Amino acid sequence: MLFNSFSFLALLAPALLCYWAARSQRVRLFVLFVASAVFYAFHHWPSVFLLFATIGVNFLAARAQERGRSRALLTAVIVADLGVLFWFKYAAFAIREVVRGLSLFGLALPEPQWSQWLPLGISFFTFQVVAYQVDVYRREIPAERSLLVFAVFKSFFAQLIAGPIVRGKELLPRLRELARFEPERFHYGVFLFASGVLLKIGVADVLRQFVDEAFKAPAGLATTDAWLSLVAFAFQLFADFWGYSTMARGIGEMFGVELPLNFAAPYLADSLQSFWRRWHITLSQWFRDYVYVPLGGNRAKAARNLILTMTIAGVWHGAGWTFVLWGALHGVWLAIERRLAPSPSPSLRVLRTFGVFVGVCLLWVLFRAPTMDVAFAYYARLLLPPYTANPIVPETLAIWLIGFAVLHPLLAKWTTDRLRFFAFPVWAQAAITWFFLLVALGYGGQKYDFVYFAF
Amino acid sequence: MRRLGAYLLALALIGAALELFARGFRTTLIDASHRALFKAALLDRRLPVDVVFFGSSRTGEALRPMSFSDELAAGGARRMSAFNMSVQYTSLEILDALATRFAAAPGLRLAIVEVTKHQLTRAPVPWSDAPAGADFDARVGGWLVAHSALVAARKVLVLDSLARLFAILAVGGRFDGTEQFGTDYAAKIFGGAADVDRSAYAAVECAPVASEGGDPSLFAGELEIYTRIAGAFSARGVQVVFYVPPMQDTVTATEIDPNHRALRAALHARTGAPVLDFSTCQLPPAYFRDAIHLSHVGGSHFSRMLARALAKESVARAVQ
Repeated sequence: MLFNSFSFLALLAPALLCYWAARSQRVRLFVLFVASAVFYAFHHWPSVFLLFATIGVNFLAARAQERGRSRALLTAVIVADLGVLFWFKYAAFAIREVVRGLSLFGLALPEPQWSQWLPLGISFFTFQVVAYQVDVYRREIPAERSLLVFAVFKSFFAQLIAGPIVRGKELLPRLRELARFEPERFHYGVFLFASGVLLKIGVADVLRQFVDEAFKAPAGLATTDAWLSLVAFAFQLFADFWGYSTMARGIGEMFGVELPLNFAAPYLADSLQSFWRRWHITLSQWFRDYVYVPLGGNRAKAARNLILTMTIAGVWHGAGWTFVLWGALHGVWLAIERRLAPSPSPSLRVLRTFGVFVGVCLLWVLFRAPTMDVAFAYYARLLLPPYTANPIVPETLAIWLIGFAVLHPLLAKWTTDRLRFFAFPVWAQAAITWFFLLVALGYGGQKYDFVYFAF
Repeated sequence: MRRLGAYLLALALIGAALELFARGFRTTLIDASHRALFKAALLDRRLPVDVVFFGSSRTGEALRPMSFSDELAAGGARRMSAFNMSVQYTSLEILDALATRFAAAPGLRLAIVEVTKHQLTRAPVPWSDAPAGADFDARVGGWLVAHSALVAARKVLVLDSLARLFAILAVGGRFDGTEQFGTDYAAKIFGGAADVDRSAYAAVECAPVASEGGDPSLFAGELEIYTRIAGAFSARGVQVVFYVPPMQDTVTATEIDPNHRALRAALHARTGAPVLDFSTCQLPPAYFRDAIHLSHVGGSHFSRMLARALAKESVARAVQ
């Protein structure tokens, strides 16, 4: 069930009605929990039991942790959470690589056929509960006493599948209190949802068609096509995930729940560090607080910690060497950047921003390519001769790339700061919302999953 | 609360206004939403027309109405109006739908129909695109398509369609069907159209060959459709001529494949309509944009070549 589907709207509308009609917070939470379970079961119903089990185990573990602080218990529950993640997401890859490794030493084993399903959003909700366990252990938050509150915290459908990764201290207090309906929040939530629909259907899915074509057979691409398609992928990925996060925030606002911002114009960053402060913000913060700092952070061997943290972040995104390399190279770049003091000259800021964008785009090749071979073939067409130009650029691609590059900072302002949106007269707000929906209506049709569903 | 109410009311009012507009211009919007319907809408605005060319993008490049009409007129026939009804990425089903729609068009005397591998593509007619499937989303989508003109005509909101909508509303009657892109529209609107210089290739000539022999059973379904198309035209007194445009590489051309030749021979045998096969013509490289599409020069010259061939064939009744 995608956010941009009729089945989701058929779930959302009654859930909203029941939620705001209820006078008791317990009933409201029950509505949210049932809606979340239905939403999750719609994708793959057996996964719901995994979700329930994760909720039960983590609830009990945190309660026990509060009664007596135990590092062993924390380790056990994190190992269990990450073990489930490893089993579903990485076991096939790990076994396959071990078998291939052994074959190098002459030990030929049959490659196992693995047909494991990947529960949607497992990487996101695993990280959420790991953060919760650590926060309870560190006594930064108390363990939640209500199973219903914890279950909604863990399963709230707006952010269950692809984040943002919400911390306990951000969401749990809000779920405990009976909030009154705030029309302004609902109003802004509708706009955010429409903005997300535009980004997903009107931008990401349009660009996706060009990108998929380019990565099918990169060896035959003209140099100009390879670069254009790479920029198209950079925008596609951004619009896809930004669109999802914006819809999630919009849904949250409609329920009176503020979800954290996940993107802040990342392609306008003038350093890679700044990029990661603007791209998938909640994940970056998670890695900072629960991996980088525990590894030693800036205190000792910062370069090693950065490379290690980013490599793990790469692995988090997918089981494959392309992701490992993508993460490691980001880590190396961050480490180098840390050594070199940035130029304070504002006149160089544009150049730095352009350089960071090009560098990030080049690394996106690894992120998008299904295999190393495809990635190298793509790099060859980007960087090596023969340098060829295709004079025919599809009108839609050209207009979308330029349009998105020019207009996305404006949309970022409207979707970040509600006052900017409310500064428009009501008729203009409605007209903007309709414009977004019309673009989506025109370009909708073929439904594609959100890219980050795969993570 | 008042502000939220005003916002929701404004959304509803704008939505209602859009729906009303879509209902008022439903046919035009839907015509603009697909390249085949767009061509049909342009032809509607130009009727009556004497000659219509049906085919794929190959016909789009190969047959220029102005050159074709000039050549016929130069041969002593009265000047006839022509329209290029070719459709890029077409299918036999699209051809069937368009031929059926215009078989009884006022003034139509001659239909020239392409028979090539590209025209033989099979696919459902794309503009009856109610969401497929039986799941909840598909059923809601289908209901909306049936009950909302805005949703039914939603493809007009795509950039290409908006350009076509502008063309239909503003200047549709001036187009002869050879315009494919926004740049073509602009050229036609602002610059008019001129024929190419004929002197350079004046000596180039190629006569069509007859298709014969072979086993057409491979294309039994396609033969049925073509026969039906020919029947639709004949029933209304319209002369139909099938043709195969030239190709650059006649060695690897699909059109000289025995099965394709057999299809054309069977088509002639069944319908009695002439089948003019230019696929083996050896034409100068400058006549081609790529292996299968003629260039502007090539299209202009070939249009005249076809007109001369028609004058010699037994289609004199239609072209006189």
